[in-house]
Amino acid sequence: MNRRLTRVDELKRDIPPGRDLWPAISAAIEADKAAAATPPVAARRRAAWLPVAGMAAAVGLVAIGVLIGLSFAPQVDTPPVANTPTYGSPEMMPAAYRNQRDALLIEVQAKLSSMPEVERKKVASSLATLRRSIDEIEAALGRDPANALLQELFVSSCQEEMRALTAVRDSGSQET
Amino acid sequence: MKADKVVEFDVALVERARRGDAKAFERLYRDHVGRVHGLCLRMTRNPDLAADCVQDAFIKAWKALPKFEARASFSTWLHRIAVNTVLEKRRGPSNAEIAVEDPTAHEEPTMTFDTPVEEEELEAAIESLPQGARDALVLCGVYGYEQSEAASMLGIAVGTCKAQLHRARGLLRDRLERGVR
Amino acid sequence: MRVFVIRPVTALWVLAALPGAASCSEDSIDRTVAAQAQGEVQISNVSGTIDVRGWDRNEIKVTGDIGEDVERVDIETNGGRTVIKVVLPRGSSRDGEATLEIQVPRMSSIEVSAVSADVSSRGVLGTQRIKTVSGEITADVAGDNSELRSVSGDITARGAGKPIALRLSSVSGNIDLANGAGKLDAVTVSGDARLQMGEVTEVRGRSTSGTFDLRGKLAHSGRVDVEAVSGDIRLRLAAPEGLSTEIESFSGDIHGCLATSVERVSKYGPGVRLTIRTVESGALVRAKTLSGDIDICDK
Repeated sequence: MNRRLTRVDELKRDIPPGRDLWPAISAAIEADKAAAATPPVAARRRAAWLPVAGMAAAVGLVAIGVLIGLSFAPQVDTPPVANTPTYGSPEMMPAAYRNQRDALLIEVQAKLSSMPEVERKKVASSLATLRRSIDEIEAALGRDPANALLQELFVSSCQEEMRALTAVRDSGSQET
Repeated sequence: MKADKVVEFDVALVERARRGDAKAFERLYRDHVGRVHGLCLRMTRNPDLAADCVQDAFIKAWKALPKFEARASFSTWLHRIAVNTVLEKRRGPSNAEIAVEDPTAHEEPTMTFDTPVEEEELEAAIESLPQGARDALVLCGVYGYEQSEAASMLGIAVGTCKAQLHRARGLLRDRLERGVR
Repeated sequence: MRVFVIRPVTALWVLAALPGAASCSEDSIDRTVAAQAQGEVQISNVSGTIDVRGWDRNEIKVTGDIGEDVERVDIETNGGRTVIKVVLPRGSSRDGEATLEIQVPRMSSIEVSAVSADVSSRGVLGTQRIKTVSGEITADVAGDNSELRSVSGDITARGAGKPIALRLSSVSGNIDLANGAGKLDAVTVSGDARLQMGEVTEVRGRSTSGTFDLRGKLAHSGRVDVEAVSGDIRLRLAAPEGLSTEIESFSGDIHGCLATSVERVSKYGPGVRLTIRTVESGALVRAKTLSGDIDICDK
């Protein structure tokens, strides 16, 4: 039945979930109670994981680099099949591309560090997704270097990475 | 059940849950899951994600019970946790603290229509709003939170919440006029 | 009791003023300048909102609220070009917010640049170039060669149903298009793309990990070229004259009502493809994924 409303706050506030979520919650509660009941060693271990804001800030830039797989050293590729150079390995990628990417990465790191934290994490996560996808394609190419689909996806993914890095570097460039 | 009786009942259940009574916490879950899920669903627009957020929110609430001040509203406190959970899943962990506040004494603002609007149409129009505007409208317009409280939940400035609510009203008006795509 | 009244389209929509916790140091702006009917309007704001509305006057009107950390709003006109810029104090570390509503001649072309400000536009018929860093973009787009770009914000666009060239790109945000037509370039890395079009002349699309969902009707020689890595691709493309396909996935599946002749790429390795040849039709659909699934149907 489609009700007719005269006020936004007449919309129903209660919308039950499609399934009972209590079993999973209950399991987590029991696990939490069990953890709380273990000797103090567990508590010390848990405390070690509590975020230390100062340390996190100090290693922030490094973490960003790790998160988006940045490296200014030549990439260490997984060993290629037989003696065929891996498609995408430093030996295969044009030097101009590698130099351009390295320079772009430095600028992107600086731009990321100036973003608010939530935005930085969101964007860094996307760039990491892109880098992981390139790594995944590269790994597949290592096993099947003649695969035309993989070659096409690899090239377009590298191009897409450059586009995304450029977009991040240039973002907000006309800001006041 | 009158509002003050609900609060008293909640207080008793929270006290028992704090002492490790999982059954008391289950009762709190059954009483509040509808609203928490409604809030998460409208913010995420995704039933699976909303269910994840609800689960995570209740688990976090269980763990945070020692920090809950008995004089505050459990419902508001729980909604704060739920909103935080949605924001975390959207963008990664936020820095917003889970603050405990007394419920305000202000009257709730209401958004009214001269001509009745079909419920489905209104829900669809709200669902189509941009994220920021939708968040503000859901918290203030649907769930009745003050702008200051909604802003605090969302981790934004009050001025921004005001602006987003203003946008939401304008965009909602536009979309209801045109019929939502 | 505070009441906001929304009336239906047959009557004037009236909204009561929203009572706010307004700071006593907030300011407002209300300025109008003359403008050419088909001029250019360039708008920049860091934080807050920008709402652009097309109207039938040869004037640009800027209204809104300015936060206490904003130094000023500059409005300069030079020939057919008007620049509206929110200026923050030099060296300010705080985010000055401005909530701007800008009415422009309907045929204007607009260029909007924002950082975290959300941007919306409605009723603007000229070319629109809108870019944000994290702000969301919501735009009714009718002008050819329009472009909506964001780094982490979502993009929600509504076309006018007439064919134009349109580019939508986001790194982390979602892309939503309704009532599009013509040529489209839609790219996102981790967001989802949901694209609903009428006549499709050409679509180039890419999503790395999000879902790419395209619905439309292929023109006689329409082309669709979509790539995803781990994301899924869903295509619902009506093709009255039939279509050809070059669809391939390295480790994903191909299904849908057209997937009746999916074949393995090689006997021993992974990979599936769907190749359909319809000589009478020039319409071609290419879709490729690494591990995402591809779902294609012509209904």
